[in-house]
Amino acid sequence: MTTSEWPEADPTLERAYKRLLRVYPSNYRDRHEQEIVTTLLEMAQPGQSRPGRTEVWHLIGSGLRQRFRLPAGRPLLWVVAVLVLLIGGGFGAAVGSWASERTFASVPDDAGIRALQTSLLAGTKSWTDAGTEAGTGSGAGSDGVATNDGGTPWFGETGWATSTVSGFDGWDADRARQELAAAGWRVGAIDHPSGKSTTMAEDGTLVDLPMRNSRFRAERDGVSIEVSGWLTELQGSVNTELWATGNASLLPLIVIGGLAGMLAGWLFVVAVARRLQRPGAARAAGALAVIAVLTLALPAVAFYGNVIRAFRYAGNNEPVFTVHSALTPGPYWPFGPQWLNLALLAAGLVLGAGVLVAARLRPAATAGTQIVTN
Amino acid sequence: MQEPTFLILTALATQPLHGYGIVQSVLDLSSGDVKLRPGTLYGALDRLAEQGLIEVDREEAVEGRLRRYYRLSDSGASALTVEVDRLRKRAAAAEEQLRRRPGIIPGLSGA
Repeated sequence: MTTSEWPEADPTLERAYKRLLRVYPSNYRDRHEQEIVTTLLEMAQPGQSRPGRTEVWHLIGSGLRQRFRLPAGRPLLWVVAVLVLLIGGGFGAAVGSWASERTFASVPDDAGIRALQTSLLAGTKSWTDAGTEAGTGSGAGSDGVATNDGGTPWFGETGWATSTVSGFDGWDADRARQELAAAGWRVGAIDHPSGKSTTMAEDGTLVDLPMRNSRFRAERDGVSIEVSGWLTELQGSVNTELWATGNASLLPLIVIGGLAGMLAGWLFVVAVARRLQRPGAARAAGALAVIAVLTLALPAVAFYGNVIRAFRYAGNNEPVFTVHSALTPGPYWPFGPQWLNLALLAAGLVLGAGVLVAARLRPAATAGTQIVTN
Repeated sequence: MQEPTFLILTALATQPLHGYGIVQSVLDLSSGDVKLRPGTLYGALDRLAEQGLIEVDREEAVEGRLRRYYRLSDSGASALTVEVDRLRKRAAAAEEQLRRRPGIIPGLSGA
């Protein structure tokens, strides 16, 4: 074929082809768009003004395949891509979990928990007041503790309060339950868990003390509580634990986030790999990418551990296990500082951004050795 | 090696060709059985270039049109030779099996 046989350009058809080629990655278009359009026009039927339906789907499919395709002949790149896909999945699941938790009710702050505990102990003699005829407890006051703990590396925010009360007559679970019901809480039945308490007799021997324990749960406006009283004839304690009940969005958002993260992870590797054309640049960015993957491995494993917990313990009426809570400072790992996951994630993201910047600094390779114009 | 890849390498064995030239050559080589579509063609060309089996020979550009000519590299010629040898052995084995088959096989000449 000679240069005199260049295809006639139908502007409409050519524009349609160029629009379709937008499905391809931009750096691929930079290299191949002109020659593909030329070939498409050469293959077009005389008088054709728009692409056929089969042709449209073929180009869309080919473009999408190109977006997901790793460069050939680089097996180590596949290993990196799979690892980044997995890391992306863990990170995406954490984002989904975080998004779901935004829809949960808030656990009351310290003052709110204190007020709740006070209502639960209304009319109760506190330890410090025990024995005084007219004394009534002040609830979770100076003799009690109430706090919102901000969450753990496994589940979200929880709150708790504990108060010391006098002996068997120190606290009435049924009365506390009625207080909650009157305040609009949906209360459960009271049960009586077993427990054991001992005291030391004058002769030094340990003596078992009879216990009267009570426990019930309640729920209102997306917040669950468990109230329990552990009483002996000498003294006892009333403990309240609060947590967000959670909702049905958690698991679907974890799955959707995880899949989106996997997709993003894979596309990230493909995008970077396609820009790294020169062996020297590929080695430098590759080394940086390997360090990033190693840095992100631990938080990713923590995320997946929490994904398993989120599914295993879903709907068990306990504090809701979330994925992103792995970033909450705490003893997730039996080693390292409590903020290890958060620090590694931050460092890994910085390294990942470094890989991306290094890749973008590389000019896309230009094919061809000779330009002939006429 | 997949058939389109084999045919593309075969098409480039004698001379450098541009995209449409490869499509036509493959169509001839396959007796009209394989008509490469542009998405398939350029996906394969990209992959083969990454593997070092083909190289860009030259480009011709006219008023926004571009023809990029590809040629078979030495590595590509070696890979094609290996594949031809493999296919020849397969074909010979199949032919031998058919000869041993009782009865007359239409289209197969005797030894």
